[in-house]
Amino acid sequence: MPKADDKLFALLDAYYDDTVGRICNRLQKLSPSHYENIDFERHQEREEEFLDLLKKVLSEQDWDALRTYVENLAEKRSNEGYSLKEVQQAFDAIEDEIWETIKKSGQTKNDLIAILRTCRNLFNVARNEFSRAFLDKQITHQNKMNTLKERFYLYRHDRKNLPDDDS
Amino acid sequence: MSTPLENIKTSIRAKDAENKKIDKLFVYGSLNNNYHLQLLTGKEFSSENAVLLNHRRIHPHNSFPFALPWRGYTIQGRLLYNITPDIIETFDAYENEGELYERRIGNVRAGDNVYKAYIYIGIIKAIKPYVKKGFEERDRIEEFVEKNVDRYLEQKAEYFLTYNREALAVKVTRELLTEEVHSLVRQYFKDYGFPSFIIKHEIEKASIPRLNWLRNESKAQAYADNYLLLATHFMIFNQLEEKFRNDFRYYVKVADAYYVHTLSTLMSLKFLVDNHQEVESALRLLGMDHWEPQMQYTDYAVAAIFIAEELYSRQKGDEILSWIKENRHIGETPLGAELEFSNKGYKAIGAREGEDETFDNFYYFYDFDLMRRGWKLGAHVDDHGFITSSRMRTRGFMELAFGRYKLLGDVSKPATQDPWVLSQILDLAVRYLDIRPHSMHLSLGVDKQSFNRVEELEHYLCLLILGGDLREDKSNTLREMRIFNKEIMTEDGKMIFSRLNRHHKNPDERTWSFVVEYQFPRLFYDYDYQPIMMALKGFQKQANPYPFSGCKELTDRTFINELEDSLKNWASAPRPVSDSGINNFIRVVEQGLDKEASEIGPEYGKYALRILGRIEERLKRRNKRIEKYYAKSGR
Repeated sequence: MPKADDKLFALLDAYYDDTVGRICNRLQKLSPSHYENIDFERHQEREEEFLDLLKKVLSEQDWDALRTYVENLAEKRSNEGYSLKEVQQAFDAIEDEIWETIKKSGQTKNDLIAILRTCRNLFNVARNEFSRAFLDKQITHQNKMNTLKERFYLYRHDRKNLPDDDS
Repeated sequence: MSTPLENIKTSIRAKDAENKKIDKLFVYGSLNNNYHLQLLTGKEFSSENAVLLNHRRIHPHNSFPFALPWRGYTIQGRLLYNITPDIIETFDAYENEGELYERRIGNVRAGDNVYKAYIYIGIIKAIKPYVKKGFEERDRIEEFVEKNVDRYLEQKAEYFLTYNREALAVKVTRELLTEEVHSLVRQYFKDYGFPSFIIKHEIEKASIPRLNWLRNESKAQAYADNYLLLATHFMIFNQLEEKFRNDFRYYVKVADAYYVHTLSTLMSLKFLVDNHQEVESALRLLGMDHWEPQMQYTDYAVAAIFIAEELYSRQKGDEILSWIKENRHIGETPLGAELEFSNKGYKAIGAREGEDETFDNFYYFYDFDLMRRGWKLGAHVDDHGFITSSRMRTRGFMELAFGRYKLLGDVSKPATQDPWVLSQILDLAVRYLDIRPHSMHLSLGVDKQSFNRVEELEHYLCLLILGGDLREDKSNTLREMRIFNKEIMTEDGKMIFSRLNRHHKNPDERTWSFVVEYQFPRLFYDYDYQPIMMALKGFQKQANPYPFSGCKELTDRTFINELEDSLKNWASAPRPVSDSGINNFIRVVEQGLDKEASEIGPEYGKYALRILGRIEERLKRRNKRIEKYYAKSGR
């Protein structure tokens, strides 16, 4: 495991509960968003799963696991009606809180920069993969609806106005 | 010598002449019932017991009976006398003569005589789909009444929608008048039928919503996109609910004491949430997320109908039904729920113009006819005052009251006895509507005579930990927000933690049904409500505490006042509940749930035990979080 990965893994492990707790409190304050309406314990379950995944990516260099997770997440959040922007804001909030964990762990300046870079790299991959998968899903769904669009267009074209409607 | 054609004509004429003399009808199924005969014809008939010869009665499970010719078999039934051609016409319409049943002449023995009488013989091929759907006798009468209604809907449609391909006009009219149509059908059964002119009059006077008014209301225009999108969401829901209720009739039926749309609501919400992205893509593709002056209200109804038709499939319905069958757990306590939604949270009450940029706190809810669109979900605006008119503009929450099918007059039925069903409906409604969820009021049917003084504060704290909203405020201080924000306080500072309420189950009923309504729970997104529901059920059943409000019999309220003060203090600085406090609470809930399980059966007992485990786990986990909060902050 590269050194910075190793250190980030160790920090996530050592400050696990504290980091998860801060992330959950932060997400509950993201307003307006779906996240503010989720109770703390549900956030906790979700963020523990995400942190466990990050640790796996760092310890096993299993980047495919991150891609698969993010792709599934895109499917789920897209179907739940989340906007791309609010999920990106959540990624930002989580990354911020992990930075906070890193910063207060008392690393040397060089180590700090390397660990922060590793963290940034992880989140860049997650954000980019998520956006790509999220938009793919939306385009696929829109393409499926072409017949519906034609049928409605035909109706709008042929229907006449109401007798007392001057539009 | 006559030709073969002339012979046939003579034979038909002879048969016609013979038929004209027949003024008797043998009945053996849904018509062998005075109430049904009255519903269909408004008349009483002289009759006597009789036997139809050489026929056999077939009665498939979950369906209605029919007769088939079968040598050597007989059918017990009744012979109706003095049947006139106009009565036969009504029965032919009811029996779908020529399509579902065929009217023939048979030999019927009554006493010592054998008569020629009309009989309705089933057409097996046509009956099969009805059997599959689980059509029973009442359903067939409902279908008959609805067909009657459809005639007038069609006439009405001619006046406002000049596009009638795919029978669209009548579908649109039905959608826009769905509340009136259902009300007519309910009334028809209650009044033992009524003449067609009443149906005609009711349909004629029912108004079709328009958007003309919007062109002159620039303030309302700012919110029109959101209102019309919400209206279309309600209409898509209505369309699917209707399809599920029709195609899965037998499975979505509930006892008369319960709200008739509960299970079909669950099915359609589940379907819509599972297909959320398809629905949203379709809405945007058809431009339903914005208002243009040339758009008519009917356009939104047409879009909703098209989207529902595009998405619906019987197979998906089968899958949802299997999911419901696997998870149902019918208890003994009648349950109901009211959900409040607002993008401004608790600030919806007393809000000023423009504070909510999405709906202006539902100020134009009735202008967009949303109460009628969302009537199956009990949609209305709640400003925490008294509801006096469905036309009055006011700012507040959008409330869904499951089972409250007539808002004015406070007429409602319990939604269900099944906590799993209610929990799913709540979670799915929150997901489908995509408006910020605020609170949930849970109602439990109770016997009002036997409340106890339950003074243990820790019992109420456990309930609050389970169902309230523990979170850190902007200054990172832990609070219980429902009480801390005064969300369940009256203007004079009283806390409505729980309240004794009463409802009529039917519009003209004189007796009251009593419920205790718990008002403290928060409505969340992605949440399992079963633990709080079962905890409240067990607690109410075992401890049966006086509600905090609405009990005139409780003259000495000192202990309630003390509890209120303690809860307020706790909410502003929540402290962990003692282990013994949690254990005592769990014991009370368990005893209550045991009582219920003993009345229902071991399967329900297993379910209750499983949820009891979740109650304990959730309580301990949240209590631990409070402990950690103080350990971390050193307060």
